[in-house]
Amino acid sequence: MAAGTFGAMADEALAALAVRQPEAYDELMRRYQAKLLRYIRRLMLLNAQEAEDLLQDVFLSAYVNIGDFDPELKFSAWIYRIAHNRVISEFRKVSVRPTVSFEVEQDAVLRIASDVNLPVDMDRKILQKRIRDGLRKLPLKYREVLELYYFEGLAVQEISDVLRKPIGTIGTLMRRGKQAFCEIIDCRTLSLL
Amino acid sequence: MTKQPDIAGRVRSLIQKRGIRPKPEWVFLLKESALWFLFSLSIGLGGMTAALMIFLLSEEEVDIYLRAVQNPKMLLILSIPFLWLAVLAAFSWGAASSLQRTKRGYRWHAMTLIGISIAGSALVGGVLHSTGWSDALDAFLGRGLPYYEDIRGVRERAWSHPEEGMLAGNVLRYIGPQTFLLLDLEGNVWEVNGSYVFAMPLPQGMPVRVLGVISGPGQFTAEDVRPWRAPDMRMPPF
Repeated sequence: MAAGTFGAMADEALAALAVRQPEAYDELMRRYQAKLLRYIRRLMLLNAQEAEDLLQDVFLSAYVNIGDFDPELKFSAWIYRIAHNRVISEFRKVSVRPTVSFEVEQDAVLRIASDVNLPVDMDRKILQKRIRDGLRKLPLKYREVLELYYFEGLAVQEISDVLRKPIGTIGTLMRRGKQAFCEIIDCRTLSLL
Repeated sequence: MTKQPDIAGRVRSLIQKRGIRPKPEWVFLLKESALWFLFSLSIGLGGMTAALMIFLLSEEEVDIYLRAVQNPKMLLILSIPFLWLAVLAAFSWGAASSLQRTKRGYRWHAMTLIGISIAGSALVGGVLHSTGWSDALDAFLGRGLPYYEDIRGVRERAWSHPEEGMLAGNVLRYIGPQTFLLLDLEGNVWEVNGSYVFAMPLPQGMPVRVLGVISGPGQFTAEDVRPWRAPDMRMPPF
């Protein structure tokens, strides 16, 4: 099959082909490279080079284990799971956390602000900075759930598949994560501004 | 606009250079099958444990435990069946843990997984007991498991305490509706009397347990007489 024809195929079909046709895996890597790079950087607070090295390991590991992909799951959930596991394993090795700044997309900012009752009409730069700082200080167990939901746009079921936790647990982590986030950035005072 | 790094290209080169190949699907299938096998094994062993517990408990009645409450040593001996609860818990944990590691196991809450495992073991245990396999299992463990026989002996000897009101043995001779001779586990002969009226003559050699008090040398006044299914009780030498 010509490489050009992969473009129209669904991720799950490409994953099934990748065992026999490495070109199909190339297409999957192209599709997920930018998303996973952003995800890794935000979750680990890494600089670009470190994040690229980590992503390279993620892609290699995913290729070796592609036969383990369950076609009844979404491929995005599976590849995010591998990335997440790799990041967490790296996270545990590092004792001093880096404090690299990362971009917070505007639509994600608005979604978070609306969900935690922040005034969405306040100065966007202030709002963005507050949200970035708040996320950075949030414990990892909450941050990983909020990242996947608000920034990666994953559904709750997909987050459950990524983190290998029941849906109910994900719901609890999201609720508590939002509460903790609000306490960190002082939502109540902000809403009065 | 910043140029995106070509990580996909780098990974492709590495795959080609190192000759990396995906692991064959049977490896993952084997892993998944092993987890389901471990789950089934844990449920099976848990079921056997539950069957054994039901069997041991079916030999006792609640009022015997209430009587033993006054004697901590006796209570401890009679509580031996409950020690199997720890073994059942270990097998249930093993089953839940295996199930949780299967492809979709994470979708269930830990309590649900433990509940499924306990219910599975209880069901298997109930079926084993109701089909008579728990009796055979108890005998099998008595032959094959070190110390099991000793523990069972301790339980049986708990009934060799006439001074505590617990006496067991075989009917030596049925004298009348309120009297019979009993050969206890130590080889002593007791004349058992009481207001207790037996519905039918007690057959010679029948294993029985008697609750009551010592009323004189070699005499025991029964408050209650019950048949006993002690597996290894020797028949008296008639």
